Order: sequence, then C-alpha cells, then structure tokens
Amino acid sequence: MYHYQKSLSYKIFIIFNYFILALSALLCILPLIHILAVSFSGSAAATANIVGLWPVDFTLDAYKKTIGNENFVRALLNSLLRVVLGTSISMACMLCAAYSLSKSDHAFKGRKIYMWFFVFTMLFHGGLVPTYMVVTKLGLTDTIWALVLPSAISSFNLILLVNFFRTSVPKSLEEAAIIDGANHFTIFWRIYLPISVPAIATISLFTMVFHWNSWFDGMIYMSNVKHYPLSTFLQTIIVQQDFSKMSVDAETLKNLSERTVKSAQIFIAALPMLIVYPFVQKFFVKGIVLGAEKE
Amino acid sequence: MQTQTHLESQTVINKKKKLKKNGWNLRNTWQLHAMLLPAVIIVFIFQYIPLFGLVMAFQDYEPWLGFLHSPWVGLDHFKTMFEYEDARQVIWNTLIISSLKIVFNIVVPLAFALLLNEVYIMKFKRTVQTIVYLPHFLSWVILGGILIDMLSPEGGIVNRVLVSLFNIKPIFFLGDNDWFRTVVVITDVWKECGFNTIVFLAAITSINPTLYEAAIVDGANRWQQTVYVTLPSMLPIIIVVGTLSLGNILNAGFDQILNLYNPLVYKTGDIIDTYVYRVGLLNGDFSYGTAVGLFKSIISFILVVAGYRLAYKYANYKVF
Amino acid sequence: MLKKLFASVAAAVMTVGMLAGCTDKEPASSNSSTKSDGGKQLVTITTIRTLKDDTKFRKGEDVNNNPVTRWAEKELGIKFKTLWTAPNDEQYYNKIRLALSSGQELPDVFMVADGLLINDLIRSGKVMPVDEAIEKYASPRLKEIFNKFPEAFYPATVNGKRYGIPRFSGGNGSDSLLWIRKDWLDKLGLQPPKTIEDLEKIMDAFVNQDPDGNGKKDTIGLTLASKNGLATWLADGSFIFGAYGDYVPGSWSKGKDGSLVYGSVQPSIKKGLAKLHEWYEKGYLDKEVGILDEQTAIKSFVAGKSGILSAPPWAAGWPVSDAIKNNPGAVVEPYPLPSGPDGKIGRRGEGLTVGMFLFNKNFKHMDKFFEYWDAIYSYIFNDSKYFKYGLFEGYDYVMKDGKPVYDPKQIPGGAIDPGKYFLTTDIPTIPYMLYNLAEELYTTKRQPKNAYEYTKIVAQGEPYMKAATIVNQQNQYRIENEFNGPPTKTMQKRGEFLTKMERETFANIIYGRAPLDEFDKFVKKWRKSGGDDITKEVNEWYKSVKGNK
Repeated sequence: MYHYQKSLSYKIFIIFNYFILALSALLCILPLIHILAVSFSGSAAATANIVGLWPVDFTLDAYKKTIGNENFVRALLNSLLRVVLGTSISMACMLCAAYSLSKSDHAFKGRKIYMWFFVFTMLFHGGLVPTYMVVTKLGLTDTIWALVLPSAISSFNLILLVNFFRTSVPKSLEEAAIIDGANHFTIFWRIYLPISVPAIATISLFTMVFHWNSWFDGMIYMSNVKHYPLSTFLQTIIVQQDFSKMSVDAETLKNLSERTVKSAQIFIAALPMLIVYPFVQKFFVKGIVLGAEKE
Repeated sequence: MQTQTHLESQTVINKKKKLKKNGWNLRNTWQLHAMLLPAVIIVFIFQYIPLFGLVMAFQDYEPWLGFLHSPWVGLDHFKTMFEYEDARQVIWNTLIISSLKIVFNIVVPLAFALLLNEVYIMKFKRTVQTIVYLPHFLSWVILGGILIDMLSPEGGIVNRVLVSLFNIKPIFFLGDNDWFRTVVVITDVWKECGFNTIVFLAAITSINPTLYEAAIVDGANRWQQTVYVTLPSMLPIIIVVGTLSLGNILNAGFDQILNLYNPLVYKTGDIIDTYVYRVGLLNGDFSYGTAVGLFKSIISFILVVAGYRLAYKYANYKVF
Repeated sequence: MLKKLFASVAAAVMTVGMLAGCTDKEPASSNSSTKSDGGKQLVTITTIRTLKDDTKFRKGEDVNNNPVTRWAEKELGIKFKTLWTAPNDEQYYNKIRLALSSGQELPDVFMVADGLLINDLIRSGKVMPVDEAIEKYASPRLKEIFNKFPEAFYPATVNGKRYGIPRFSGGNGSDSLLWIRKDWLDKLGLQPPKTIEDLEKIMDAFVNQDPDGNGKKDTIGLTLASKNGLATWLADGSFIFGAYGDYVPGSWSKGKDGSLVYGSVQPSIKKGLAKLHEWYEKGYLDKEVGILDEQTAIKSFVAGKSGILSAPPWAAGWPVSDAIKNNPGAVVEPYPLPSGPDGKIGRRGEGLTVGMFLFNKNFKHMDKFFEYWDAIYSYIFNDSKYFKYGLFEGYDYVMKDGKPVYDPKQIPGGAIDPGKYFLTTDIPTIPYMLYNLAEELYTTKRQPKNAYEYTKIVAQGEPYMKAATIVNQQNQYRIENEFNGPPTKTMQKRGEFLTKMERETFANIIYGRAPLDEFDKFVKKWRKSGGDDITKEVNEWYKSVKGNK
C-alpha cells in the first residue's frame, strides 16, 4: 500500500476506526441474526415475540414450507435466467450508451439531447396501466422479456456510469489511442471497459439486485404461476387474507403465524446475493488505471 | 533545458497533427449514435410511449372507456389535492423527512466509505462492506414488526439501554410526534447506507494513484491526503449522487412510513404517498394517483435541473 | 465481440417484434362446446381466482387438473379453465383492473369482493344481470337461501337489477367473544365477568396482583388492536362500545328512525372512548395500543402478558393455542361478552358475503353454472349424490372396512381439502349454518356425519365448539354494517379525510392527548366536512337496493 505517516494520532485513529466499523457492522447484523433466529423458531414463540438471537423451539418448518413447494425450484431457475439475461442486456446497452454520453458536448453534438432524453424518464413515469398496455400489445406477457426489457435501462445507473467514465478514464490515454488510429469501438473496448472495472462491478451488482428483488412485474405480467420468478413466488407463500370476512378454516389458521415464514424468505432471497457480493468486491482493486497506462 | 522545452512543444504539435489526421473519428459521430441506439429504443418503447398515460391526470379515467373516451376533467384532480385540508401538513412532512434522508444518506455513506478506505485488513474490510449492505434486503413489512418490538416503551431493547444509561423515562418512539421523524430517518439510513457506500468506494478505487504519490512526495499525511486528494477526486460523484437524489425530494419512503405510522403520529408522519394510498383504497381509480404523481414529477424535475445548474455554476461540473 | 453483442441485441429486439406480431392468445371467453368422451356435450367455463398458499395440491395436480375439475368434467360435463391466478386479493384486483383497462375479454365467471370494482365492472356493461338466470335455472333450494338473505345481493345491485351471485360468509364466523386466562382467574379467586364492571375488576387484578407470579408488574388486562379501527376481526374492541349503545365505530347501522347512520359519530361512542381512556390510564391496555394492528396486538396475549383477548371462535386454533404453547399451565376459556350498565351487549357483526360472482355478458351457460352450484351446495345440505362422506376419497376421507375415516393421519399423503378447488375457493357456506352445526354437535355430542362436520368442527377441538356455541347464543347482539355497496360519491372525495380525522381523534382521546370533549368537535366537523352528504347518499343507496325485493 501507500506510504503514510505512522504517527501516534494516526494509530489512535486506526483503532478508533476499527471500533466504529465493527460497531456499525454489529448494528447491521444483529437484527439479521434475530430474523434468522425467528426463521428457525416455532411459530408460537415467534408470534409472542420471545425470540432473541437464538431460535426458540428449533424447527425447519418455515424453510420446508418454502423450499418444499414444487414451484420453488422452477421459480429459482426463472430468477437466475432473469438475473443473467436482464443484467447482460442492461449492462450491454447501458455501457455502450454511457460511453457515448461520456464524451464532451463539443466532441459529440447530440449528447445533450440524449442525456436529457434519459434524465427525463428518471422523473416522469407513465404509470402502471399504460406500461402494462405496451407490454401486452407487444405480446410480451408470460415471457421473460416482460421482466427484462421494460426495466433494462435505469437512467440513474446510466448517469452513474457516465460519471464514472468521465472521472476515471485519463484523457491522455484516450488521446494516445486516437493518435494510434483507434475508433470509438476500440477505445470503448480496449480502454474504457478495463479501466472502469470497479464501476462496472458496482452497477452490475445494483442491476442484479434489482432483478433479483423485483416481484411486482412478475405478478402483473405472468399469468402462469410456473413463470413466476423467485421473488414473486415468495410473495405467494404468505397467507394473506381479509379476515374480516373469514369462514373458519383450520388449514389457513395453521399458516397464520407468518413471521417465521417471512423471516425464512428474507434469507432465501438474500442468500445468492451474499454469495455474489464478496465475489464482486474482488473487482474493487486499485491500480488498474496505472497498469493500463504502462501498457 | 531549452532543447527539452523545444522537444516537448514539438511532441505537442505532432500530437495535434495526428489528432487532426485522425479527425474523422472524432467528427464522424455515427459510432456514438449507434452505441446509443439500443438504449434509446428500449427507453422509447417502455418509458416514452407509456407517458401518454399521463393524460389520466386530466381525466376521470374509467378502465373500460380507456384513454380516448374517458371524460375530461381538466385540472380538477390538482385542485382536489390543494383543497385537501391536510395538504400543507402532508407536503411539509414529506419535505422534512425526505430532505433529512437525502442529506444523511450522502453524509453517512461518505464517512463510512472514507473510514473503510483506511482499513488495510482486506478480510475485515470486505466483511464490513458486505454486512452493511445486507439490511437493504429486508422488507419494511418485516422490519416494521422488529422495530415496534425494539422501540417498545415496555421492555424494548432501545429503551432499556437508554433508561439504564441516562436514567430517563422510556420513550414511546413510534407514538410520539417529537420522535417519529427521527426514527424514520435513522432507520432508513441504517437500511440503505450500504448502497451509496458502494458507489463511493467504487469512486475511491478509481482515483488515479499517481495523485497520492504526488501528495506523498509533497509530504502530505494521511489526513491531508484525504482532504486534498480523496475528497476533491470524489466531488464529482458526490455532486452526481446529490443532484440525482433531489429527484426524491417528494418521495419520503412509502413502504417504510406505511409500516411504521399510526394515528398517533399522523401529524408528523403522514406523507403524500400514504395519503394517496388511502385515497386510492376508497376510489380505486388511477386518475388521482396519476395527477399527484405528475405534480411530484414536475417539482422533482425542477429541482434536479436547479441542482444541475448549481453544480455547473459553483463546481463547474456537469452532472449529465 | 461488439458486433456479436449488437447482433444479439438486434436478435432480441427482433424476437420481441416477432412475438408482438404473432400473439394469438386464446380468447378468454370461450363459449365453446366440444364433445367429451362419453358423447355428452362438454361445456368450457373460464374463470380466474386467487390461489392462496393454503390451497394444497397432490403431486402432479394443479388448479386446472384436480379431483374437482375431473369430477365436473365427468359428472356435469363442465370443463373449468382457470386463465390465471393471483396470490392475494390486492394483486387479483390489480390484474382485473389492468385487464379491464387494456380491453381484454373478461372470463366467464369470477368472484370479486371489492365493492368499487364490482360497481366498475357493472358500469362497464361487460357483466350480465342474473335475475332472469336465477329465476330460470336456480334450483328451489338455492332460491330459498337467496330469498332468505336478500341483502347479500346488495353489493351487486344496480338500478334494481342484480348482477351477481353472493358467495356467502359464515354469517357470524368472525364475530367475537372473550377469551380469558382461566388459570389467572382461579389463581386470584375471581369469577368470569358478567358485566363491564366485573371486567374492570378482573383487569385491575390482572394488572396489579401479579397473575403470572413473576414478581414484576408486567401484565395487562386486555389485548386490543386499534391501528385499523376499534371494531375489527381480532383483538376487537367493539364490545366496549356495544355495552353503551347500539353502535360500533366504522359501521353503518339502523338509527331510531330506521335510516342508516354512521356508528362512529353516535353519542354512545363517547362513553366507550371515555372507558378506553380510563383503562389506558390505569394500565389495563397495552401502552402501545395506538400503534398495534391485529397481528402485532396479539403478541401480548400469546406471550402470556395479557389476560383477556376479544376474538372469534376460530382463535382457538390461532392465536389462543400459541398462548397455551408458550405458557405452560395456561388455561384459556371462552366467555360471553359482558353487558354494560344498562344491560346492553353489542358486538361487531360480520357481513353476509365474502364476495360476489359476476358473469361475462357473453356467457351462455348459466344453466350449467347453476347445475354446478347446486351440486356443490348439495354437500352441505347433506343431500348429495356425489359427496356422501366427504368430497373425494383419498383427499378429505378414506374408506376403511366400509366406513369413512376422516383422521388426516390415516389418509395416505395426509388430508387435503378439495373444497379449495371449487369456484368458491372453499366449501360453500350459508350464513350462520356453521356455528349452528357446531352448537348442535357441541350440545348433543353426536358423531359427525361427513368430512365437513369432522374437519371444520369436531377436529377443531372442544374450545372451538364451545366458543362457537357462545357466539351463536349471543347472535341477537350483532351490530352489522348494513352498508355493503360501493363507496358513494362523497365518500370517494371526502372519505379519506373523515377516516383520518376519526382515527386521529379516537387515538388522541384514548391517550389523553385530547380531552374527551374533542369527540363533540369531531362529530360536528365530520358532519360539516361531508359526513351529512355521505349519510344522505348511503340512505339513497339503501332505498334503491331495498326497493328491489
């Protein structure tokens, strides 16, 4: 790493720093441990809220109920497909667009118009009904495209990418490439992409999380339960009923202590991200710019 | 010495010549247009075409009549919004809660990213980074339940700690108008700060290491490096995140408030979105919600444009 | 590489275009008749439904292939086709509204509970009036129950025409009674409450005499939910108001002159609020009662920190059984609601319908529908040629040595309730029938005659049957919400504001943040801010639906 003065005050700061970070991490993880404990607890204890950080009446019922459902595996596969396809399409389109938009107004005449074209959609939305009509008219309902295409371009992420490109790619490098006769495609491919790995990793992560978590579009656009992605499927597991008009039913009542099931869902839903995220973090490495410049 | 300058100016001239020679690449921007095309098509189809739905805001939209035949009501829905007795209260609550959230959701993650940057035990750094991102995956439905328990004036963990530390009377956080907004802002920052932390960390990683090397040569210590290299290098991304979050000035967090608020704190906790939600439960039509949404969009748009102008004027940075 | 990328994007876009070009979806409403194997005319009826997680299927079966669909096809010549399902009511209505907006054809028959959506669908002219069909095709016994509960048709009655068939509720299925910790009563030497005064003494003892014996003053008297209104389906506070007058908050009931009046603004409500405030001050209620909804309120009772819960008989299964599980030695018994100072008793009464079945105006087979309706109702009439001991062998019962066995443990693969596969999404009901049966079974101790009586009543256990009997015996105290139509014009405009004001005022009064007299101000403001108009509109609606029969 870089040289720095190992003064006393810095050492004190370092200790303090570790303490603060560990404390924040603890604050973030304790509620999660509590939820994990609830998910492994008996429903009676969960309803009474007597579960702390350790399960009471340990049981796997909540997980059995979720994972044991025959649609679970299918939903998981649907979700994986959605994440892979959705993230690839999003990233491909957004990275290309971000490259063009990262040029100066001077170098790229239409830039401003394009930029506002995207910014506008960040703030103005047609709403559920017309979007649904467009998707239906295109015949996308009940297909994976209804889940990946409408949300493919996030203007927010696009703007972040543009700014990452602008701040992290040294102008000198680009000019050198132009002198060597490179065209835009080559510059994009050879210079922008390798240099912006941390940014690409970040935005890819956001996009993945978005696709993994979205459930509403699955509910609206999929007629067949078999096409539900996991997040939509998980929504169907909890019994939701208007009890004010209920006729008595043992089966329903048994399922009522939903707290355990909801807690289990959180972990089932978050688990893949827990696996992916540390992997993504590997891309947050310094020195790529330096390496590229030496080339 | 002189020859060196001469040589340097010579290379500059050469560079410029070569640049000119290769000028078609720069002037001929069809490649740039082409690279934008897929994104533009998708956005046009799925974002711009549905915008016709905004006409609903000026109609009494009846689903079976559609956009063409539903009766027009002009600005009636907008009038209803401002004639609503509690409009001032609801808008005010929204503004206070959302602006506090905007500020703290930048300051806290920024501090966090800077602190994380001082950690050289990679395992520790990555673990903390992962953990603070985790609360993002929790839904407010389940968090609502947990918070009610944790903040309970009768034996909730927070009150127990406060009572034993400061010897005060237990605080009814979720039922007290003096505390409700604070709780909302703190829990939101807790849940979402991992998101911006990642953005800021990515920005820190992208800083050109030569800048640090130069600073070290100048004898800057770690603190000075942070103030004179890291922060200025991050300024663009901070401005970007700040300007973009201005778009949320009228979104105070629907899911969160819906799960935490209650009649005791309507006075400080009721926001535009929860109000529209309650109206929607009664009249089920899309028109009023669309009208309020359009109003929110216009205000947000004005603010984002203002933020963009200010950033350009004072920081000389173009966000878009 | 880039070219490849573009190629794939282009391919994706083209696929989309092609998909757009060649969508030939099957028409939703297919009044098609095809020949079935037996040579009988097979009629296809399309539908949509909510498919909740409590509907279980045997392996390989689903909503379009299960004993009910096979039975309907074989015995009645009806092929049911469920076009789509939604996991809960909110999403179900969302999808119907979207379908309506984008001009899609409605299914042949489907159930809607949301008053506004029913009204929208009727106004859209896409659903059919059913008066004629009922007259022509409904069996006499169906007509008889329809005539017995005319108000069940009100939600779908417009201009004197009926547009829907009610899906009846249990009638008094979610009416409340008191569940009290009998072990606490015994420990403190107390008798069950007959009056509100008794109840106050009990609550006082529960709060101050350490009934759980842990040496801490950490118990409360009564578990109440108030976030969503004080008269509700669990941890219900309506009996407190019922003890002081004939009205409960949030309900429209008959005033002295026979017209409908709004419960929350009646003077007797003020007395109930005064009591609640007093109880709150004395620590009988949860300190957080103002922020608790039904599901969060019950935790005090389930954790053994509260002695009394006002809940329907089905609470025996949940959450009362959880309370017993968590607190070894806990005994919870059902008791009738106590009376007020003038001997008055009153409780929130559940509505008569769960929803209305509507029919596509192009639907041609109402005869078949009523044939099916009568066939599934025959089961609870105990007069079925299809379902003698239960619905389907191997699902809700099995035959052993020529005798039906209902015990789930004896059924291979466990019991599954095939009633969930019916259009009604459950075994159909007639109001009050279930608790009448429960009372009969409880008092006569006779054996259950079929799987229905066994699973729905006997298997629920003794406390449930006792509670059902008590609720049934207090039926004369029901205060029903007589307004079950769509929100009126002024309600749509002002309803949100009025409800918010009501909730806020009531909560503040209970917490003592506003004086009791704030109630009078609230009533005045309520009337001025649209309440009077709403009352007028509600009564106009009432007259219009009543005029028809």
